[in-house]
Amino acid sequence: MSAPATAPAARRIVILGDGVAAWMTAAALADALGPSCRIFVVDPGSGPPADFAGADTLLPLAAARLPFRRDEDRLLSSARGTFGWGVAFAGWAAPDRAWFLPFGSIGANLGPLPFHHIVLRLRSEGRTPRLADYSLPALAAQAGRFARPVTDARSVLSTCAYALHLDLASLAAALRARAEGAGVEQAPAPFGSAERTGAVVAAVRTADGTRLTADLFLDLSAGARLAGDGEWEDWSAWLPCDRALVARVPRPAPPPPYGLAEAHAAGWTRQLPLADATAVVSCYRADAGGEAAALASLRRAAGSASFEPDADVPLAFGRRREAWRGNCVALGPAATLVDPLVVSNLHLLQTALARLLELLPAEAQSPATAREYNRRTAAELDNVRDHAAALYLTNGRRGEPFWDECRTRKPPASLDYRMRLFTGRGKVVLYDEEPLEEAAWTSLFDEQGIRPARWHPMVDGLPAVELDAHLARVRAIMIEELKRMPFHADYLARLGAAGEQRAGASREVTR
Amino acid sequence: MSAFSVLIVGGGTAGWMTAAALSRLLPPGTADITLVESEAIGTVGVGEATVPHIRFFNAKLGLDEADFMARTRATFKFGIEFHHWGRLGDRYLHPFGAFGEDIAGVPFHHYWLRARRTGIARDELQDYSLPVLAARANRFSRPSPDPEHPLSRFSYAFQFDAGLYAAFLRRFAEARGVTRREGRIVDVTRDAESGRVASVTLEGGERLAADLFVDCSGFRSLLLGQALGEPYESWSAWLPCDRALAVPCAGVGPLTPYTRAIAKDAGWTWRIPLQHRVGNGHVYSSAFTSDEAALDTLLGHLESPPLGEPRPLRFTPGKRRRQWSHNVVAIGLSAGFLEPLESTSIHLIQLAIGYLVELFPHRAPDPTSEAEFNRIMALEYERVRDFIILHYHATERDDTEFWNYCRTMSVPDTLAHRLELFRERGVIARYREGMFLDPSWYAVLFGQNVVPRRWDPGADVVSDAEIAALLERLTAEYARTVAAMPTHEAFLKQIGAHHEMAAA
Repeated sequence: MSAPATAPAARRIVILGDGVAAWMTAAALADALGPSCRIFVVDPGSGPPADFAGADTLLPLAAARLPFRRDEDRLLSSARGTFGWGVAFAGWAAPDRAWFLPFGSIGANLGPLPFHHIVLRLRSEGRTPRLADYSLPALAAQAGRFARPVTDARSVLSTCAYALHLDLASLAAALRARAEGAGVEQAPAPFGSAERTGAVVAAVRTADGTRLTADLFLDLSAGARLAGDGEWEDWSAWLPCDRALVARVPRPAPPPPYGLAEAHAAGWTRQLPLADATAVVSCYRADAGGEAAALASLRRAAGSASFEPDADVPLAFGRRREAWRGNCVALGPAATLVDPLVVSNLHLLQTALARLLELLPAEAQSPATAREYNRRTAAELDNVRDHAAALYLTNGRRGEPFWDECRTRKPPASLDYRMRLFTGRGKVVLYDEEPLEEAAWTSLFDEQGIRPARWHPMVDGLPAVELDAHLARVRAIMIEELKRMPFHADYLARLGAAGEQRAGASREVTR
Repeated sequence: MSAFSVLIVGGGTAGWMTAAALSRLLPPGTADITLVESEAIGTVGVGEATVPHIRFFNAKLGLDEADFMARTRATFKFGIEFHHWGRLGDRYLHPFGAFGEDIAGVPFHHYWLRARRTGIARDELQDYSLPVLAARANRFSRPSPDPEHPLSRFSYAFQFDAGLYAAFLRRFAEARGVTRREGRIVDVTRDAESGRVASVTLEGGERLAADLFVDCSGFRSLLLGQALGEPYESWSAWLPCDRALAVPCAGVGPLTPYTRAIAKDAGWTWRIPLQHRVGNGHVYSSAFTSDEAALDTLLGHLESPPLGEPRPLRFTPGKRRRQWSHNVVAIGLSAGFLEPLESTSIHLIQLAIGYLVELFPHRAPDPTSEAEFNRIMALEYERVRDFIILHYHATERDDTEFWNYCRTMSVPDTLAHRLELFRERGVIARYREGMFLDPSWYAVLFGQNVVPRRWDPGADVVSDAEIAALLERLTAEYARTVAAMPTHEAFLKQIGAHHEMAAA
């Protein structure tokens, strides 16, 4: 063969960042590249930590290249986590209505007929089925139960998927221990300056004058101190919140296996249950008098009229147009900030890392690799933006200026097309690098009140009783499985006990 | 209200596949399906070789594999063997299956690249493909459903007589209520206001009206191209071949479980082994060779005397800008044409049928279904187009003007990106649509001497000894597995797929 491959070049990597973003990146790269690659973490020394919410979710991911994801029990217990079957959306479709967005799929198709279309037809005949009534994750969320899905397609458990709710500070500590155990070094002083020629960074200097050269620079700093001169795409036209109140509140026992996204007069409040508390973030738009609404919402979540948040942080949703330029890749907060309605910033960091590892550059200049990374990253983030934007656009809160105005906004072209296809015939359009399954779109549109003008004409070829029977069968199978599922709290306790035992065993050994 | 009516214009592979699928998938009573064809008009039937997806189509119809194979004189297919594409004398097989095994999420070929440099690995990635090794030995077995089994990481397709397949599906469709009308269409009437096709007129004056027309009229594109005037997007700047000659002959030697595609001075020839004969053809560029020379090339390459006169075909590679317009959906050659180098014709028919079923129209016009069908089908055609262009472009051949042109032509941006990315880092660009997965691209790229400059840095973490052990294990496992497989011919007989066993 003509051009033999040669050994790759990246032998030194500098990560500019702190908190969970930096340490997840460090752990992932150290795992993948082994001791022959030296990895340095430099504290950007800039402002609030990237993990603004204090807790976040990891959605399911086929992460063969992210070993830290493999021992999920350990990940969960070290990050004081719980499991999540989906997100409950309260007050979005109407002030007094809630609905559930499950991970995994909904119902079961009947041959070529989509389940959702069968539901549409039955509704036209006076039945009132809700999609979530035919989702095992939604039923399990309601019942407070949890068991891990299986891959065997014959089991209804294969229709489920779940997220992890994790405490970011604990997760960062665990990942840092993992990274440092694998040889990652923390620079002795924070970031000072960068030496660069155009898009190529030669070195960073820390405040104490240390010069760190590298083949590859990963910028995870909140202000994008290395990648910051690239163009930033602002999403405020579709994602209207620009500040967030952050707090920890005592958790009701037992922890519900789902997250809650509750709309308030000028934004929304997220509650994520953790093992020992609930992490609350209340996003709002400052100029809509949102702070008062956010605070009130937060206090309702805390169950205390005098509760005060831990922090009030600014938000700027959007993405960097080109995450990878020259030998510098923007990741985490330097690359994007999304409104964490379903897809979280933490999840997007893990998918970015999986993609980066797949495309890790082996040459100082890798223009095609960078182009591929940027294309896929942009596609994924735009899909996330579309899903979040759709929630605001389709809201059913009338008479509140913030929400009334949201409904008047013009959707991005890609979302406009999705909405037209769904409105036209109940078809969910999926693009390259979709982070969510079809069901996440179907539930959103259906529950927010978009009723397709038509359903699949073949559905009309079947008698309603046959369709009723199909729905009943699906539900019966799910209820049967549900009865066998342990309660979420018990499942977590068993993991905790197993973890204790494991820790005990290793103590025995070291003694 | 009367049932929704569908008129399929044209029999042949596309028409009868569509009729069979609709008759099977539409609930009884939802649609009246009629197919109109004329025995006076021949079918093209180029697509005698298929890709593995055809098995899902057959499964949806509920066909029994052995019975279908016996009736269509089908053989099994592990892939396509390419001769003289990268360089004169080169030979590689594009198999339906993965190469080797990944380690720690890093694809196998990166380890192979590294190990080849240190002399641990065999020279060809091909040597680490079970279907390639089995094909070379003319042996066959079906994959195992157990994902842990070495026999699970490959797939297979068929080579069959497309005329017999169409006839088989005709019986299937007619048994499920499809009405077949014999007749030649002489006129198409459109609704003056909406522009939709209202009816077609047969020779003799009878009019056939329908709600939906599926145009399976072949190259003529009677409804979409002629009646609706949908423009044709030509891709001949990238795919200079525009003619073909096809002729069968008797098979000589063992029954091979693969198709062959042999590059020639101004095109390529195919060899498709069926149970009862071998299909041959020559695809060539009229700009670079003459019909006479092409005929000599075809006849000169036959393994036995031709059975009949070679049949000429003319085509322009490309597709209709929209494949669904108004109430006309074009499926098959009426929608577009890509040469059969990677046996994609039937697959593109199958895809179009799948999307038509998913987006099946209502009586009232629905621009959204049409838009989505056209968006997806354009992507699917373009992805196949890029894969086929790759075979011509990734060459070092400079022995004829044809190859000089192909080697130096500019290619679509999407393909240029794929090539640059692979050369830079050994990765295949990822898109949602597109039937050819990463292993197919590896097969052709490596098979035509496109080698990445660097392997995945993650492949450096594993020790030489670990890679050597993997390579050794795979080599032994594959050899053992192939040796245990029956010959292709024996397997056909064993499962009752041999045509002598066909039920009446």
